[in-house]
Amino acid sequence: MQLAFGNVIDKRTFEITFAGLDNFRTVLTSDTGFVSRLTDTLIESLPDAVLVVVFSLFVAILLNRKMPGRAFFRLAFLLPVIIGTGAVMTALQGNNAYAGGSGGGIGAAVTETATTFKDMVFDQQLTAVLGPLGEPMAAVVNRVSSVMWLSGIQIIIFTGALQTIPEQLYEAAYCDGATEWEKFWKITLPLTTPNIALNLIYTIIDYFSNANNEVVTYISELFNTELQFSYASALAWLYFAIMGIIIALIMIFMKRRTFYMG
Amino acid sequence: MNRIKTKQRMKWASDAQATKLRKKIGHIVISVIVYALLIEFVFIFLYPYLNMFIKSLQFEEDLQDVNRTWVLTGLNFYNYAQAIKGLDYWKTLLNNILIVGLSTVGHVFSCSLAGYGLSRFKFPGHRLMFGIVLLSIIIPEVLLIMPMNIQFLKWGWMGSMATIIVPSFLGFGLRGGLYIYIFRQFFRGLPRSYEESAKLEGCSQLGVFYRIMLPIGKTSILVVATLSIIWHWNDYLEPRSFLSSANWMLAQKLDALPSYLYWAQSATGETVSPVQLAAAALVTLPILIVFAFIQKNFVKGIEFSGLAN
Repeated sequence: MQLAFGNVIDKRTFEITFAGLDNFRTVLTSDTGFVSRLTDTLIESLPDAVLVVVFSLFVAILLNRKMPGRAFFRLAFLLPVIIGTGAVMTALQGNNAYAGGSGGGIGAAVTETATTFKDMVFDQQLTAVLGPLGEPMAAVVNRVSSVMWLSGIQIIIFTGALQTIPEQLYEAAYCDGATEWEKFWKITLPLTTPNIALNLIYTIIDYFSNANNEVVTYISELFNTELQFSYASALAWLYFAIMGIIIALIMIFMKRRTFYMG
Repeated sequence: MNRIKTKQRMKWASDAQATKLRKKIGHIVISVIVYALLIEFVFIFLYPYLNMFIKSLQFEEDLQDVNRTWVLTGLNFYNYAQAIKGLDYWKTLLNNILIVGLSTVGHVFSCSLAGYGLSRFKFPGHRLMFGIVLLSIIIPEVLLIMPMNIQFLKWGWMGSMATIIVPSFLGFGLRGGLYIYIFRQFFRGLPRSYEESAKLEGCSQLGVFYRIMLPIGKTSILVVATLSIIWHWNDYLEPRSFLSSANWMLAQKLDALPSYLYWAQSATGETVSPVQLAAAALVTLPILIVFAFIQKNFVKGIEFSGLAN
């Protein structure tokens, strides 16, 4: 915080003068890099977050059915969370250098896998099978697979949420002749809204604090390689403020649509 | 008259049979679709993992043979023996179990209490409190490492396991805010009638929480416990920064595994270290086993019977 409002005079001794809002002014008026990267991130992350939530709700509902092999599938869907650590991941990639030891935790490693995974399977095979159509297809599949890699935690939360819906409601709906489709819209969805809000917010936070995120890489580059400490920390604080505002907006938006039983 | 009646009856019977058959076919179609979808999704998740397992069990000749990327000609446990030695597996595993177990208990204990409080009591400033909880999810761990480091140094805790376990008992620790949020959302979704009737019978507030709300909240406890176990198990940054190397957990050991162990050029051109892959398999195996047990309990935990809303 102190850094953001000051200027580092001497980079060896970290002597700081108070510069007021100067750094913030530079960010908003003359820095073209930050704003464009920020909008890029927003445009990329918001639809993806919605996709992640929809996908994980869908999978959670599938996993909630009574069927043989359910235990196996549940375990398999947990795998991305389990192997999504830096250390295990890097071992998997056959690469001993722990990439970004201070990286954004799971999210970073997961996007990384999604890309390597894409390189490994889809690109080669799709181009082999589909010829010129392979590349755009691979792009689509890559996006889908990265969405899937990010949704492990959300699936767990939804699975838990689905269990809390009382059986009696479904029975009553069945007696009134409701179809599965109606049951989903009238019972399952309203009763999972608290968890949808939770997952949406969590996913967005995950995206924003991801180390592969353009804004985060920009800030850390400024901080680490160009040594503009105070400017970079001003950026970081501004970034947090914007994140906070977006999350507050989403909370307000969800608040009206969230249904609490009781 | 009589004949018409029997005809009618026969028609009804065949109708009933037809609908039954249709339902059965519909059911089969749905299950086929569900399985196809699930298998397709699972493939993406399973691929790297299977790859890891197979490569770690292959002999060197197999690794270099293009035709045998997925084939095992025999089981090669040499890599696993090396990995166990390199990780100092049993001792590190014990460390892991101790730290992960205690912090998970801490998280469940503290976050459920905090989440319950935030969901039910409208004390002054409860909005602010919840905002702070959200903020603690938003701020990345990396930023907190330095201040925590300074504080732990002051208290002389550096290097001990307390640095990770104690914060989780205070509702903080690794992603504590998220768990508070999960519990809050869950408890807010419960009807108040249970608590009210318990209070009428003369139960204290804490009694209500421990005797009624927690047992109902079994599923959310399981969710939080699962997440907490996995994240603590895999966490790299905090243990690496706070623990002395004698207390290191598996993730740190895995990362510090000497790279000269032995590397092989695989047929597809990637360089792999089968020992590292074996080690990675050993690190992830225990949580897989634990979750296999936990997921059985993800069943309906609530009975809302006898509730008049």
